Order: sequence, then structure tokens, then C-alpha cells
Amino acid sequence: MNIPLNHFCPEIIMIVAACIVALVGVAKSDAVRRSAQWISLISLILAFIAGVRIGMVDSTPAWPLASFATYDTLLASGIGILLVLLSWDMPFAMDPAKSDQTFRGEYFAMMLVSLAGVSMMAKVDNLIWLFIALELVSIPTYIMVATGRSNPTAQEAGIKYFFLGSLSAAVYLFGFSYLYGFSGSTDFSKIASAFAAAPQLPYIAIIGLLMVVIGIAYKIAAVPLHYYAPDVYQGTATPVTAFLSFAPKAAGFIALILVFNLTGWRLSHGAARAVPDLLMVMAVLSMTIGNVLALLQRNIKRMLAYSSISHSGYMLVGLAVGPLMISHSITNGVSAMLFYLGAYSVMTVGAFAVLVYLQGKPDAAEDLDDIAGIASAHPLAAACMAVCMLSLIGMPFTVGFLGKLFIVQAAFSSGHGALAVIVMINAAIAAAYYLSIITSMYLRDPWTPFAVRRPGAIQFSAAIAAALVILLGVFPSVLMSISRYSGTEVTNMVVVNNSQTPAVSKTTAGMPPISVARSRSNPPTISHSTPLAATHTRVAAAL
Amino acid sequence: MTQSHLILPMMLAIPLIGAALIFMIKPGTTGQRGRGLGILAFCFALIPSLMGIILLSRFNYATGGVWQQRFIYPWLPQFHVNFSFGVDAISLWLLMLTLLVTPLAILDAINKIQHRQNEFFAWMLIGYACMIGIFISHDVLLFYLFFETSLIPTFFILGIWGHSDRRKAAVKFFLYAFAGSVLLLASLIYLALVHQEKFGTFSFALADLYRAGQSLSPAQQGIVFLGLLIGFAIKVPLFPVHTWMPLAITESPTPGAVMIALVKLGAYGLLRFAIPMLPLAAVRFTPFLAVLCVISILYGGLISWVQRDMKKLIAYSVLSHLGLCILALLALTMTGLTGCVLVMISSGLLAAALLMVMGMIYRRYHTRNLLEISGLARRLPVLGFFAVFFFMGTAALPGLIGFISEIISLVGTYVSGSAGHGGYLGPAYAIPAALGMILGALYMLYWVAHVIFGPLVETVPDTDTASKHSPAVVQDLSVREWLVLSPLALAVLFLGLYPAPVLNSLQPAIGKIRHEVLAAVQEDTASRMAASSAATSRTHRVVAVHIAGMPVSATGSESQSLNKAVALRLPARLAR
Repeated sequence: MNIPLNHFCPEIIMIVAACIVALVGVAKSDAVRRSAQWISLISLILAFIAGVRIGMVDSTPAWPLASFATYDTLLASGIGILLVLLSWDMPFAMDPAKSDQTFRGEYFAMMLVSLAGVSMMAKVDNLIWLFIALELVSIPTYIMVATGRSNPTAQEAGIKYFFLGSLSAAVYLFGFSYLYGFSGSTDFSKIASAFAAAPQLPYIAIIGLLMVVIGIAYKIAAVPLHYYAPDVYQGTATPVTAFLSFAPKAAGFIALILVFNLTGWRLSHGAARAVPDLLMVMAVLSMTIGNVLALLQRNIKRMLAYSSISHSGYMLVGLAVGPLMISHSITNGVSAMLFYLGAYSVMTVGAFAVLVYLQGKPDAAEDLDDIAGIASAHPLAAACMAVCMLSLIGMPFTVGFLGKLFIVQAAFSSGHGALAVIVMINAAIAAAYYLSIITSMYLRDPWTPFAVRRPGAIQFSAAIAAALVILLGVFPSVLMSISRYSGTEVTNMVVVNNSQTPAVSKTTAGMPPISVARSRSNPPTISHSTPLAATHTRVAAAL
Repeated sequence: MTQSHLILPMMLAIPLIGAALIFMIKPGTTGQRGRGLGILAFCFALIPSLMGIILLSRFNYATGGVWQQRFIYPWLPQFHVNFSFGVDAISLWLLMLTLLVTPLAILDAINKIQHRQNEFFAWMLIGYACMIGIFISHDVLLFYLFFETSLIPTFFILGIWGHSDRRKAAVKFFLYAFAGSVLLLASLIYLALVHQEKFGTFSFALADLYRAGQSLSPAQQGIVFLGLLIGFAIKVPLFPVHTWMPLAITESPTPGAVMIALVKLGAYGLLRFAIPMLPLAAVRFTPFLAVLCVISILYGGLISWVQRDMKKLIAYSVLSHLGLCILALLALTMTGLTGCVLVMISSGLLAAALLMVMGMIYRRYHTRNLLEISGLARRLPVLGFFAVFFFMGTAALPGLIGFISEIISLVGTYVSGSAGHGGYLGPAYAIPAALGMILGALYMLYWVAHVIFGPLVETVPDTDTASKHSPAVVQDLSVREWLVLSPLALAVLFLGLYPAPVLNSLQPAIGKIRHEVLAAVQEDTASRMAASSAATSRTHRVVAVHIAGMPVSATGSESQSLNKAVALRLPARLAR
């Protein structure tokens, strides 16, 4: 794949800004140090604009996954803007009174590096680069977790996060080595053709894939590698928690899509069945364990940690039915997953923004009792939180509802009715704990006097997130089109790769009843460029 | 184009605009501002009601089965989901009920809400818009959206302005309803996908889902029906899943309780969606559901007999009426289905009116305990009159709407399963239901005798409010309370004396729904019969005709016995 250099414009902007911020952020003068956050904000806005322009101008595909990469860039820089806003004026200072002395700009530098990693994720074309992009996302987060707060729990969280993170990196790197061993190359196109040439996926490749899935489960906080999430989310500073709930998760899911893409999604038959089966088991366990344990929590950050585990479960459902899905249709599991990823990021970051706003004192707004009755004193913050919670529940006219709708639809249309019903039952369980937050804010009398953080930027980011939740819930067409076309690109690869192999009929035979007719009606000889060109024009139109 | 009628979307938009406006006005510390907010909310609620009169005049009653005043605007074109509005006769009358009662509930609440008035009236208007939306949605996904969204305003009204146990009641209300509705959504998505698989487009349009649901095999229909049933049965509510409702109605402030008791969402959903979409499953589940309905009726009656809390009394009587409503629906006779819609209207009207009367008594005496007050007619003759009037309506006094609706439902259930009527129920269900209704009348009469006409007993209200509310200064109805109760009383009386316009206009719409069910069942039976042996073919053809409720050629006695046999056997056969 030859990716034109201008497509890396957003990442270049972010990395250059990160370097500047790292220099500026340690300056002696407080005013200069504080300019770090403005530079970060402006660079992310520029990166976002660059991403939009690349998506718009490029009506012919520069490479097969161009709109997937555009989506990734827009997600990283867009959510990045919200994350910078919610960390305004307060990194490394749990006590806002002392923030003058303790403001350290390098927090933003690490944030930018990590976001650049997320943004680059969909543009890699080599296993080595994939690993580098994943580590680019992860390593800054280790530092952010450990230094985000000056108390021992943050140190504990940092150590836990670092050691388990390194372990998981070792696991997926080991998985990559199997893929290399199978194909003899780290280059994506070579690996893909090796997969395409093999009539049956060999065990060595399947073992590699399984290890990659398990390793990346850590990044997305899915069962069985979810144990760290509650402790780390609770232990570290809330802006860092917000960052953790977005960046590693987005990066992990995109990495999984890329790895499955190598196989041409030929995972529905033979021994390769193990991969979607594993994904499904992980999905069901993540949803159920996440939601049931969240029910037991009184600490909001811990509750949101379990909630993020369960949302990984929902997205894994989309991914698991992805390999089996109907190739041309709207119910593509990968599209549904990508839509859900965007929806989840907006609503969960909005919820954390409100929490940050409410933490005007150290250790405030940790417990459900702490936020009792805040609706009367802080109506806007409470309203933003309520909107995000209702969206996480999946109430209509929020983006969370559409996300669940698409996931369930994808699960049904691939013949996994049981999975769809499990998603729905979990949505009902989840409603209980999200509702307890709303109940606490609106239906109870104030418990303790409250101090909030002063910077308007925090409230602003919460308000933007809440507005986006509703806007995307009522007018979802932009997010829908771009996630749909990104998913379609991935699926187009299926057809192309299948046409090169004798195993086409097997793929079709392995599919469940509903999808058989669809995939047969889709000519396997479809060329690479035509649908992609069409896709790109449509993405441009959507933008 | 006929699809550009703006009246329905405007009806939906005006309360929402009002809600946004009112939400932004701070209530202030004096009661004056709160009062102004209430009046503003009332005006915004009244506009849709006035538009309702225009709608009544524009509606073509001869073709009441056709969706009229359509408005279509694409929302998610990729999914063929549209903002698609319209009304047929059934939704027209239920819409009218909402348009009549909700503004009165808001009028009743002015001055009664002591804090956060702006939020309260905004939530009331949002709830109002959701209720309108539910009845005018032609697209099933849209119906679901309003159905689900209506939980939020009720949750907040119940949880913020409710009585002592409000938080538990609000959470229980929300979780019950939400748990049911997620399975409902799963079923709807599945049906839409079935439509895509069999007919080419992914669609949530009503007719498309009817077609998709009916094309499924009985076993598949059973699973999908179960999903819909759980959602709607919780919302109705039916016996084992009813526990949220008495709690919610008791703990809610009067307007919230009126909203909960007014809209018969579950019954409407079963009538409009579950039964015509999945007729074979519906028929198969009929005996099971009918037993639950009868239990609801008897259970509601028995509980309210020993109930000493005014609002709980009404809540259980609503439970009992809704049992009858669903029973009449399951009867699948023209009479029964008409009765079902009428019970929705009458129970909505009467329960709302009674809850408001109770609210008025509560405001005066600060107690809901029936043993603490009696002889109100001596102190409050006008309020006493209205209380007696609405209680008599609930106890089915001839001449009031309660009587008409109950008698039609019971007759519909009784004749169900007999020759020429179709349906699968019969006297075995109608007689216990009638007993339950008599039970209801008994406790109502007992209560009225005690509270209204007994010896004068008044409670001493709480000490802090004693100066304002001591028995010496308890006043009879204010002008505003007159305005609230008299339209309801007129409606109860008018529909009781002259229900013909409603009954007649309902016939085409009900006939259409009934036809969907019976045609599908007949087709299914016929196809099964075709496969059976030649010796039995004649009998079975007669059977098929019977099910469709058409006249038969066989002699009376033969057809009677045959029909009974079929009524008993058919569900079992479908189950195979």
C-alpha cells in the first residue's frame, strides 16, 4: 500500500505540536506553561480539519482503507478536542487551589502523542508499524496514569497498568510472530496474499490470531483481561480515566479490524471458527460481568470502569458477527461496531467531563452519595450527565440507542439471535446502575456542600458531548455514513480476497441462512477500485 | 400530495416548544412565578387539544380503518425509517382521550407543585408530547421511540415530586418498563430483518411488519410474540408483572399518576402490533393470556376490597379493568375488540378523574387513608358529588361509559368461540370476569357509602400546616377544580348515553385488525388441512370457515359442537 504523504498530515500536526508542548510545558513561567493547552487544542482542531479535508478532497481512493483511516483520524482528533478541554488547567493537580504551582504542560504532550498513535492506527501497513502504533498509544498512558495524581492509589494504578500492559504487549507481539512465521513477511499485503493462497487457515496462523485477540483484549478492557480496569480507572485522576476509556479502546478495536482484515475475514469455517467463537465468548462475558459487577458499585469511577468493560462487550458482538456478515448490507457488523465506537466515545467522555467538573475538591464526586442532589445547584452539569447516562442506557433520541440498534441488527442478520437477545438483556441490567446516577443527582437532596472546578472549558466539553449525543441521536447520517463506508471497505476486501481463492464456496456454505442469498448475489469478481471509488464519493458527500 | 398534512407533527411539536421555553424560565421564590409557569404550560397543552377538534372535523369516519392525515418525512433513509404520522379510528379516539385529560391534569397541578415548577411543567409537556407521539406513529420504530421516551418524564415527575417512597417507585417503574421494552425492540428488529430477507427492504412500516410477522412459521411467531408480550404485558400491566403500577400510582403526584393511568400503552400495543403481526402465536397464547387476565381481574378486585389507601384502591381497580380490556381483546370478536378500545377510553377517563378527586381530597386533609375520613358530602357537597359520580362510573352504573365498555367487553368475551363469532374464549372466561367486575362494584359502593355518606370524620392535618388547613376552613371546589372535573364528568356522561359515534367509527379499523388475524389463521389452518387426508377434509374445511367467523352451511347443532371442539383443539394443533 502506498499511502500519500498528505494523508499523514493530521498525525504530523499532532506529533509536531506534541514536541512543542513538551518544550513549552516545562518552561519556568507559568503563563508559558499554560500555553501548552492552547497549542494542544489548536493542533487537534487543525488535525481534525485536515482529516475532514482529506476525506472530502479525495474522491478516488488513495488506498483500500482510506475512509476507514479518515474515520479513525476524525475520531481521534475530535474526541481529543473534548479530552483536552476536560483536562483544562488541572493536570497533576487534584487540588485546584495549588494548580498554579503544579501545572505541568507535558501532560498534554503525552496526550497528543497517544492520540497521534490512535490516528495512525488505521494507516499502518506492516505488523511492525502496527505494534509501534499500539505502543505509541500505550506508553504515554502509563506515564499519565502514574503521574496524574499524587497519592499512592495512582502509583498503584500506574504500576498495575504498566506491568499488565507490557504483558499484553508481549502476548500480541508473540501472536504477530506467528503471523510472520506463517506468511514469511510482516508486510500486510504479503500476509494477506499468504492467507488468500491458503485453502484452509493453518493452525499456526489461527494460534497467532487468537494470541493477538487475547493481547488486545487488554487494550479494550475486555474479559478475560479486564481485571486492571476498575482499579486503574478509580486510582488515577479523572481526566486520565476519561482518556483511558477512549484511546486504548479505539486503538485496540482498530488493530483487531486490521488483523482480521489480513485474513480476508475468512473466519467462519473450519478451525478458523475459533476466532469468532472466542470473540463471542469474550463479548458475552464482558457484557455480563461488566454490567453485573457495575450494579454492585457505589464508586462512580469504578462503576464507569465496569461500564466500559461491558461496552467493549457490545462492540465485540459487532466484531464477532463481522466475519459472518452480509457483505453489502447496512447490517455489517464492523460498521455497527465502528458506529458504536464513536457513540461510546462521545457519551463516555461526556460523563467523565461532568465528573471532572464536579471534582472541585480532592476526592469529591467519587461516590454516589457525593453527587446527591447536584441537579439543583448545577443544573447544566447534571443535565449533561443525565443525557450521557440515558445514552449509555440506550434511550431513544440519543446516539447510544442507535448504536445498540445497529449492533443488535447486525447480530440478528448474521443469524446470532441469541447474541442479540443477550445484548438486550444486558442493556436492561445496565439501565439499573446508570439510573442510580441519575437518581442520585435528581431525586435526592444534597448530601455535602459542593465545589466545582472553575475553568469554563470543562463545562464546555461536557456540554458539547451532551449536545453531540442528542444531535447524533436525531441526525445520525454523518456518523452513520462514515462508519458504514468504513465497514464496507473492510468488507469489500472480503470479496476480493475470496475471489483469489478456491475457498469461496466454502465461505458461503458456512454462512447462516439469512446471509447466503445476499453473499451469492454479490459477484465475487467485483473489482477493487469501483466500489471503493463509489464509497469515497459517498464519504465526501457525507462530510 | 396527501402525505403533507402538518396537523399531527404540529400537535407533537407545540408541547415540546412549550417545554423548552418553560424549562428556561426560573421559577423564582414567590409562588406567583410558578403559577404563571403553570398557566403557560396549560396554554401550550391546550393548543394541541384545540387542534384535536380540527382533526375530529377533518377525519373521514367512513374509512376509519385507513390511516389519515398522513405526514411522512424520511429520518434514517438507509433504514427506511420515516417520521411517519397518521391516525386511524382507534388511535384517533385514544388521542382524543389524551388531548382531553392531560391539559386538565396540568390545570389541576397549578399552585399544587411547590418547588422546581419549571422542570415539572416542562416534563409534563414532554410526557404529553410522547403520549401524542405514541398514538400518531405509523412507523413501528417511531412508536417504540415515543413509547420508550415516555419513561423519562414519568420517571422524573414520579421521582422528584412524588410522595415519601418516590425514589423506589420511580426506579422500579423505569426498570420494569425498560426491561420489557428491550425485548420488545429486539423482536421488532428481528421482524424488520425478516421483512428484508423475504420482501427486500429493511422496514419498520406497520404494514410491512404485519406482512413479515405473518410470514413466519408458528414456532418462530411464538418466540417473537414472547418478546413483544413481555414488553407490553409489563406496560399493561398484567398479573405477575404488575407490581410497579400500584406503587408508581400511589407515590406519584396527581398529574403523574394521571399520566400513568391514562394511557393504555400496553393494551394499545397488543391490539395494534402484537396480535395482528403474529396472529398464529397470539391464538396459541390466548388461553394462557386469558387466564392471566382473569387472574388480574379477580386479584385487582380482591386486593382493592381490603385496600385502605385511596390511590392504591384506584390503582388496583385499573389493574382489574385492564385485565378485562385484554380479555376482550383476546376474544377476537368484533364486540370484544370494540369493548377493548372502549375500556381503554373509559378506564383512562375514570381513573384520571378519580385520581384528581383523590388529589383534591388529599390536599384538604393530607391523608389517603380511607378510615381517617368519612362523611365528606356534609362538608364538601360538590366534591362529594363528583366523587360519587366517578365511582358510579367505575362501578358500571348504566348510563355512564363504564357500563357500556364493561358490558360490551363481557358480551364480546362470552360469545367468543360460539357460532358465527370466531374467537377462542367463551363463557368459561366471561363468567369469572363478570364476577370480578361485580366484586369491583361492591367495594366501590362500600367505599362511597363510607367516605362520602358516613358520619362526618375529619383528620387533624399535620401541625405545621394546621393553620392553613384546619377542618374549619376546608373549602369546597374552587373554580379551577370545577373546570378540571366538569369536562371529564361530561365526557363520562355523554359517552355513556350516546356512544354510537365512537362505536360506529371504530368498526372499520377494528374490522381491519381482526381481518389480519383471522385471515392468517384461516390460511394456516387451510394449508394444514390440505395436507391431511381426504376422509377428514370436509370437516376441516368447515372448521376453517368457522374460524374466520363466516356463516356456515352445516346445521346449527353440528356447527356448535364442531366449533367448540375447534376452539379447544386449535391452539394445541397450532402448537404442534
